[in-house]
Amino acid sequence: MIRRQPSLITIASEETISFLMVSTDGRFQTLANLPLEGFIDGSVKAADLPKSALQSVNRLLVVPDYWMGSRFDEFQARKTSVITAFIERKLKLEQPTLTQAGDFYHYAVVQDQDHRQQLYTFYLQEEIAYRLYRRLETLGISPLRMTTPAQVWQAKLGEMVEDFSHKGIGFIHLGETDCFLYFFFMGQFLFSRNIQIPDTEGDASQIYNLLNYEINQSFYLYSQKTKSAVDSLFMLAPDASAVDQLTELLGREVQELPSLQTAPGIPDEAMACPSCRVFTAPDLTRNGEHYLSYRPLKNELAWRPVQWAGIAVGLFLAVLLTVESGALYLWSGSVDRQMIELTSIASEPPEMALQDISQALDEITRELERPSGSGTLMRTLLAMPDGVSVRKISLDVSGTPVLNMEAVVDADNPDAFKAMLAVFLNQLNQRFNLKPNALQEKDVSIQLDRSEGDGRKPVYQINFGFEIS
Amino acid sequence: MKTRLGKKWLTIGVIWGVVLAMTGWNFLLVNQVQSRRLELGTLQRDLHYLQSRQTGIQEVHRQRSRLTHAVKSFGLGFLVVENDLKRLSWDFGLQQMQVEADDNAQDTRSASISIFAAGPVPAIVGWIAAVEDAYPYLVIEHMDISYDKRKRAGQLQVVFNYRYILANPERRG
Repeated sequence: MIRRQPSLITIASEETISFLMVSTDGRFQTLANLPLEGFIDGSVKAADLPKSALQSVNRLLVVPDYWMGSRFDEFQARKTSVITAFIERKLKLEQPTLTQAGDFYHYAVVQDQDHRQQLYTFYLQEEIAYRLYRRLETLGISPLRMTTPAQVWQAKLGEMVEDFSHKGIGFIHLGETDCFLYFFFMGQFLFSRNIQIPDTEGDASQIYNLLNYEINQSFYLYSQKTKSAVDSLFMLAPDASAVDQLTELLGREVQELPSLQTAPGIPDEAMACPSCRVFTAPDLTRNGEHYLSYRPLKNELAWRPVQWAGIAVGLFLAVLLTVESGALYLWSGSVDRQMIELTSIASEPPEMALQDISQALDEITRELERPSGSGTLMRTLLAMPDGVSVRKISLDVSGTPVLNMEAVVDADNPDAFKAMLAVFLNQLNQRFNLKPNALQEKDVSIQLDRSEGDGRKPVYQINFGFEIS
Repeated sequence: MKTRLGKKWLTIGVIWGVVLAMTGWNFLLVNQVQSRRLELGTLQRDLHYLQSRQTGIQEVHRQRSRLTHAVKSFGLGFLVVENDLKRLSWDFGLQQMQVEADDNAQDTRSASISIFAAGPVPAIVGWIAAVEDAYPYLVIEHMDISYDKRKRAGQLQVVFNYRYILANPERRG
């Protein structure tokens, strides 16, 4: 049975890096908290990490918001190759010190209020982020995806706020010691701010005044960056009165987000950054567009199913073909053994015996096809009507068999001779199975000899030859 | 990362290379086995045919052997032929039988033998029929029969092709 590797989530803050294991019931288990610099420079050894962390799949690395930069560009093309070439060229020009920036970015194509196509790109902009990635890679726990708290909030707000991708959204996350301001434009993270809450010894109004000031400063920055105003402002605070206070101070509606804690958050011992503590396992494992991946790794991951399928199918076929080859080899051997057995039974190879028989039959047939001397004589004699007597018969079978004949016809007159000759030739045609009328009167040489006989009765001498088969 | 991806592609390439090679090899093996099975089938049929037609085959060989006269030498063979032909001519009442061999021929498997005889035409026909029946290795090449009506006698001139085979080849003559 294939055992799924456990999921690891790493959260980096400015000072520490936390390793959390996600259990199947959605709870976080803190594996280790290590000083970030020590971890990156190697002074903290791999042995300081629990074995379970090193054997896990690092599914996500959360880094501070400012480690990632973002930009909007007006861009018409939609073709991936054109977009990636554009982004990589821009990053190379504008971030010349970050030689690997071209491998650590993600983009989204969005439309602004005027329906112009905008290309939103976010990328790693802090050198420490690259060093951290390489360190994790060295330990064999390269993160499959990287994100920031702001990007996680973007995904959460995208699900909660209606028309999020078409509005300017501000979000205030008020914690115990910090307040985080997040601003989104066209559904994409624009910038964030971290405000340390001063100790006011119970006077909350000072805090709200400070927040009022900072939020208004941020509105100004937002309008400068986007040439538009924030449409809606949302707030997550431990106390509902904070929302009312800020609404009154800002002079505009601040909407309270409903309670988010449907699953356990990140435990306090994880020492994760304050902005991350309300995140749950579903928040950090949700699929979406709010992550970036190391592009070669992404490429590898995209090809991984194809490669494994190729390896699996190839191995299966190789095994199948090997078995087939073995079976064929055995089969071939069995056929060979049968042939050897049969060949050993026969006194001589059967094909030679058959060839010998065939030659013998050919010779016998040739002999049978030759006209026999006695047969030819008999047929000739039997074909002779009364009054015809032979003088000479000559048979030549050295080539095409030819029969030549000299005979004497005893006839009273030419008509009788003609009749007897016709009978004789007709008989020869029949006896020798010649073609119809093969032998005709015109083929016969006729001589009239009056020296023989009684002088009054002529003697007809005939001479002819024909081919017999 | 690229190396790892490349190594995996290389592995896939090797595996599929093996698969293709095995496919080709098996294709050859299938053809070979098919060919051998055909040969086996042919061999079985040939053997069955030879066993079931044993009598007929022996008869064919016997008939064929009759077409050639097995002799120790041409001289001995000719003596036998001359003797047989003359004895037969006495049986049929032929006279003046002369038997001559063509010594000029170079063929070691056949020779021309010329015959001259005289007698009644029916006797000549009977003699020829008897020779053809009893000695199939004597094949008529040329034959002349003339009949003298006044003498009521016929004359025979025939050239036989005498086919022989030497059991121990030696110089002819």
